[in-house]
Amino acid sequence: MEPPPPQSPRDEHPHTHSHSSTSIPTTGTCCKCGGATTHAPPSQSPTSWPDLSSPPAYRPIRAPALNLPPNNTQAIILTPVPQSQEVPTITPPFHFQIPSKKITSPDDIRKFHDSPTSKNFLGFIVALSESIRGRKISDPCHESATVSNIVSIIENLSLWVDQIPPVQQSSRYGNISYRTWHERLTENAESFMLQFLPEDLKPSTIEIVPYFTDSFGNSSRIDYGTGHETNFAAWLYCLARMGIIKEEDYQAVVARVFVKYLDLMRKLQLVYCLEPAGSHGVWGLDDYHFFPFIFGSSQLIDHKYMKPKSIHNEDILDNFSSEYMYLSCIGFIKKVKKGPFAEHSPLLDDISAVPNWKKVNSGMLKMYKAEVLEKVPIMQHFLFGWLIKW
Amino acid sequence: MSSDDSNNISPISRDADAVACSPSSTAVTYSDNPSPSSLPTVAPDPLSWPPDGKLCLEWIQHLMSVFEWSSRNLAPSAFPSVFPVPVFDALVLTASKILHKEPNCLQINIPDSDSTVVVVGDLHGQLHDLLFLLQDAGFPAQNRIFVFNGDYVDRGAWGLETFLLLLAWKVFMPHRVFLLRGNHESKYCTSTYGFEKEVLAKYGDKGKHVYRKCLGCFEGLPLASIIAERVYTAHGGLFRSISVTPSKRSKGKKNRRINLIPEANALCLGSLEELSKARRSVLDPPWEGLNLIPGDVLWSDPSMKPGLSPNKERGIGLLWGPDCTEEFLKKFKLKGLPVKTCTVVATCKCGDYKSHEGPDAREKRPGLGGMDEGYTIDHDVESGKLITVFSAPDYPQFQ
Repeated sequence: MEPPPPQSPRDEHPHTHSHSSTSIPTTGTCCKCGGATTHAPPSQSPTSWPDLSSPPAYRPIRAPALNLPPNNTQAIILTPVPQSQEVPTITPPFHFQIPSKKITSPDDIRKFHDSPTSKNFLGFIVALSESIRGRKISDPCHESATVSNIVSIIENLSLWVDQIPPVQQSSRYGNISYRTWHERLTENAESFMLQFLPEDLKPSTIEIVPYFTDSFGNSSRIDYGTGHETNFAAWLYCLARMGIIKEEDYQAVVARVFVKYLDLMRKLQLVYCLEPAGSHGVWGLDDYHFFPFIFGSSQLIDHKYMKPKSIHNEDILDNFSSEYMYLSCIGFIKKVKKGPFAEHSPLLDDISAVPNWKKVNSGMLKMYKAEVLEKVPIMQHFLFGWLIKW
Repeated sequence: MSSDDSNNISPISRDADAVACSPSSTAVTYSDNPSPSSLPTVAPDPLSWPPDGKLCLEWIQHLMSVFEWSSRNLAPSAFPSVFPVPVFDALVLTASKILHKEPNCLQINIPDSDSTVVVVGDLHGQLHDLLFLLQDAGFPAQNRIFVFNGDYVDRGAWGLETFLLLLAWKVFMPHRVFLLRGNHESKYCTSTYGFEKEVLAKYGDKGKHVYRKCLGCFEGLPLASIIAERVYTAHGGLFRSISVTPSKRSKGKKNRRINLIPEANALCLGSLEELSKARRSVLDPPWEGLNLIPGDVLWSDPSMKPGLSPNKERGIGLLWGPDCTEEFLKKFKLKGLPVKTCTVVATCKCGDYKSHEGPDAREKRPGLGGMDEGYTIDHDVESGKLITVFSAPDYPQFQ
């Protein structure tokens, strides 16, 4: 079956959200405009299965889907909290190379985790987290020319989404226009890098471009997950290794660059209906992202009145999402998922019972290490070169 | 449905297959608003394994009722209070014994022309969809065979219950219920995508033992089936031939040793004989070495591009085109569809997603059909069709 031909420029008229009754209840978000939708339960399929009855309406399942037994919690408490590290900058002669995948097995993961590379990479993430501690997104911070340049690149990528509207198609996930967007990204990635790389570092493009182009999802599967997000962090790490991003820039890297990146990813997820890549379902934090929970919890450390349980307060979510990443993530999840929060996001719900944000933040860092950096299905795609050594 | 007969189950004939289990006559309903009499209002007694090791329909129905009640009312860590470890051990052991004896590729023959075969796609721990599906399609019976196409665990919250219920059905009706292996029935997936966590959450310090036993049971699951000599069913799909070539060495006495090297370049379709000889009892199907068939069967994806190529996105398994579907069907005289699922039968419900690849993943490959109705026809070739079926409508739960 051929997919239907692409539509002409996106319909400007407000459209109603009455989806065909044979489609299953989908996300509560329209793939076209990103607005909320309501769906009637699907009616009986017109196919030749006469015994088919109509599916039940959504059943709330009240019991929490998971809880960590005491001994597990103990083990997690005893794990050391990852510590920040300074990123050593490279010195000439430079040996930039095309990076490649190296990890295929748990043994490789162990090797990676014993290496200074992984400790330093994680240390970089911790340092980013610390740079945003107790700060709102809009708080003033030092913005270097490089940071501004990167922000404008991401803004450009976002503009392209408007220029490349999703095509009309019946499937719920994975609009093929995403591939057009991604192609444009790949074609322009190198010239983007050259905009801000100093002369002597321009040869690094062969090494850093692959991280960048793999930060926004997978083109053939039209999906996105924490692996891609980690690639973006790896790209930033490469810039830190080259001294293009310095410690004084870290706050802006989070509050300006990463925030813009997150906005772009949300837009891509909604407009092109990116499928969660390798979702952990109820056993994961979020289908797409991890860093906003790390950075976001750091932002809220020592906040005068907002506690982890504040995420259940709709007013707080509405009023403070623009300043606090953690809240905007919760808000997004509540918007796109159906049913009680405790049911579709039991982990985040459990975490809301933690007494303070400092503990949430350190828990998130430990979890990132264990659930992303130590998992073969994710790390098998991670690239190693000269900047990030195997 | 009384909860007090768990200790006094009368064994029925071992030839359980001959018993017609008609759900309407031994009714336990699983409606949205169960009547008070059909569900225990207090915690049920823990299940126990029948003394003679024979399961009966009442035991299964009680199990379903207990699982459903517990999913709504019991904290996960209290799960052992209704399904204690000794019962778990007995069920998994009994089921494993049956499963391990089955061939890599089951030959499922339909008793008569009135019978149906129901093929079920990925469930991913969605117990309530499984319960609904059994209600809706009817229980396994003399004239109703079920083939479950893998991916019972991970992502959803009730992988254990889903898997254990299927094992119970298998023990009860081994010739009417067939469980194939999915790629998630492995250590590789379950250690990342939630099932290991689920087991630890539910069984606490016995969790490691329970998890290990589950992995052992997964190893014994057959890889594929051929239904009515016409329809090849597997979680992933087609597989390659593992040919070995002797290395070119001179024939002097010292150099008589033959090196066996798998053909690196020319991927071609494997035969059913190769499938039957593959070593399936592996914790995780290997992606390198000689034993590549299990990985292919569990992980491959169809493509509109002709030919066989390595499945680079997944790092294991193959991509195969419609020409391969045609070749496979023709070569093995299969008339119906290979893989992913059957033409012959009702999917249980208007589903969404899965049997390895979501409906959405399908859509993304040009030419492959959309997924509105629980199945898609991916390849339509002269000798038959390739269909993917999915059976977890609320998967993932975040929809």
